[in-house]
Amino acid sequence: MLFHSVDFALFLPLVFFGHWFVFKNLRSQNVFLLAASYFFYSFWDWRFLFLLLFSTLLDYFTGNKIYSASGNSKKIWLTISIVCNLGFLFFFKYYNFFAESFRDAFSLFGYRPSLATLNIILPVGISFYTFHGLSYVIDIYKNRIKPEGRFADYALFVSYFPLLVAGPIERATHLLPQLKKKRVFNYALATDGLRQFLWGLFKKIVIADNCALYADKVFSHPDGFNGSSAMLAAFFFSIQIYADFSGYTDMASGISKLFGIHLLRNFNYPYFSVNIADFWRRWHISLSSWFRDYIYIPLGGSRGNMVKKLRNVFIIFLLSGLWHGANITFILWGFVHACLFIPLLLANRNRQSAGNIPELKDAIRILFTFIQVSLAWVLFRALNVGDAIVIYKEIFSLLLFSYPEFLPKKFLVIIAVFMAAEWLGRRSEFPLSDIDKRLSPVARILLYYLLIAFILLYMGNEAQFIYFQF
Amino acid sequence: MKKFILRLLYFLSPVIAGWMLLEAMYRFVPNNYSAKYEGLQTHKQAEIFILGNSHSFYGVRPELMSLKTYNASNISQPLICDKLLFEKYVLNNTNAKAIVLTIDNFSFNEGIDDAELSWRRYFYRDCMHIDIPGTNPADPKQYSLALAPRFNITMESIKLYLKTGTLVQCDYSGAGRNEGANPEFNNEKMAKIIVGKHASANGTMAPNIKILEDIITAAAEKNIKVLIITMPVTSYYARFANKNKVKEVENICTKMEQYPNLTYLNLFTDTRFNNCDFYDTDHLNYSGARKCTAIVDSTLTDILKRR
Repeated sequence: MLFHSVDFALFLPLVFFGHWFVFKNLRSQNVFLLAASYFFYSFWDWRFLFLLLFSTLLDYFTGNKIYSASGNSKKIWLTISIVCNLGFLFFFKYYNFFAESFRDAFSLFGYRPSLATLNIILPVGISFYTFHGLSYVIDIYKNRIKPEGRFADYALFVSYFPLLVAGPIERATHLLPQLKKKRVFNYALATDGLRQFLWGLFKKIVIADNCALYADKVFSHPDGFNGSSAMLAAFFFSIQIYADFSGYTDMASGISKLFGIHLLRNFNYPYFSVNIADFWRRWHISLSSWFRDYIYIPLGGSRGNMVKKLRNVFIIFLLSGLWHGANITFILWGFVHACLFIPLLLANRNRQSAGNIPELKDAIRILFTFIQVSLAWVLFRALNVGDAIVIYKEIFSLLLFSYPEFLPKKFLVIIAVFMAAEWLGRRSEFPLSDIDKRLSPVARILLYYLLIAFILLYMGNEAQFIYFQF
Repeated sequence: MKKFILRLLYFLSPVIAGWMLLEAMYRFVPNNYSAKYEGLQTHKQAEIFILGNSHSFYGVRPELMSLKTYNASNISQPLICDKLLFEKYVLNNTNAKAIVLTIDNFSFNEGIDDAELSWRRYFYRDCMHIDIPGTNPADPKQYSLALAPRFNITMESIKLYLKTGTLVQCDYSGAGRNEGANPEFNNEKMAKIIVGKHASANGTMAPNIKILEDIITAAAEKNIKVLIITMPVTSYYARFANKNKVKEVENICTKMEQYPNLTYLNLFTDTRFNNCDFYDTDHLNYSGARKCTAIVDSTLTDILKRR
């Protein structure tokens, strides 16, 4: 069930009604939300519900064991949890990739081991709920939190439907206390949630899905395009992936606000970053902070000698690439970002930022960072390294200055208006957030109807969100 | 909470009213699907039934055929719908002597679940009363036709209705009619776009080949002849079409001639047609349809003589 589907348009009001009108006390509200979340998940493939349940039970059980154990057995329970969680992730997501890579590597030496590849379907959202569970057990191990007493509350933390399939990757320290506190309906929060949902829907349907049409033109058949067309496709994909993923996050946050729950902020206008380090503080914040807290810092972070620092940076970026998918292109994408990050680290400029709110004077740095990021996205989007090389060759040729083979002028105007709205709204969580302070009620309502008109005009394909595959 | 719900309802009321109006339009204004349903009820005496997509919808004219004919083809009609229509309305019709079915270079790769076609499943269900397998019982679109097509398709329908006063694009015999050649659509640039659009159908061929075989076998049991046609296209279209794909489909159809009740007619690059016979790059206009119908008619006459 997609957030922008008709099914969800019926599901959400029913859950809202059930949550506030049928189930009045917190315990029953949480159980109801959990049942709704499982129903939501089973809409994709009910068989994977068992995997989700098993993963939830495993982390709940090992969390309790870690807390009550002492000495070495604490570590053993943690290891069991990590091995099982990552084992599932590895099996469903990476087995075929590693089996093929292993076989190819050996075939270079004339030996071809008989490792069968399997016909495995990737359970939707596995990377997200596995990381939820891992953060929970690691936090218990590190004595940051106590294990959750009520299984239903813990299960809801893992499976809460707005974030179940594409995040944000929540922390037990942030979400669980909200699930345990009596929720009171808040009019301002609910209307803010609806505005955020509307903005996310607009991003997904009008911006992302239409950018996909132009990006796919080149990325599905990269041969034979001139440099400007290839660069334009990279630009469209940059906007697509941002509008798609942040649109999903906006919808998830907006829905959650209807139930009085705040989710972690996942995006902070990443395309207004002044360098790559700044970009990573603004892009998929819940994932980068997860890697920072559970891998980078335990490895030593930016402390220690230079070799150690470089090693840690490479590990984090390569893992971040691999997290996105079982393809060498994702790993190379991570590698490129590491290479762009390291000069900033060496020059001690990795913490430099234009501040939370960049100004126009930072325009050139913002533009330069955007070009770097867009070029790196080519690796992320290309089906294989060969395709990426073809596109790079086209971009870095003199034909970059030729007239592009497609130039959707009207749609570029829509993108320009969208980016301008994002720029004007960069002081708030999303551009429509504080619109009641800036526009009269009539102008506001007209704007909402205008957004709905655009959404309706472009709606219908129900294209999946890019990040569901991760 | 009360304030929130009331304000939300006020805000959504124009959207809900719009949805109800669209629903009424799709339910009460006749469209191609309801017209074809009516046509199939009133043409029970027909001996020849035309099935297939827009190529036969615009390309074969029943009134020019020697035998009583009804054109049951429709725009973007996939093979599964041809099969279901055939089974429901033709197979048990004792007057039926032959069916004509178009197979183009993309026909075996298309399915009703393709993004551009999927909305049509609800119209077949509601207006033509055929149940296409795979409809999700929890899918709300099957209860509201206004929710089925993309909104821009609905906008096009509204425009058509305001301009012509109807959503029906076919005449009493079930055929659509295009006049003249439209230079805006009948040109090289457009051919490249249309070939690309057709090439984007990339489903596996086997299920559709099986569907075609099922139609042929069922027809044989009732002594109904099957004429498969690959419809003509402009030279522009033929130039950009994937030659291997064209050949592959041609080979499959030729192989099917092993069925005794089947004849294959390949008009893809037939020299009797020139670019002036087409409204756009791959749809015949009225003069082209006359030529095509004459060829179909004489072929069917020969086939039925051999009965």
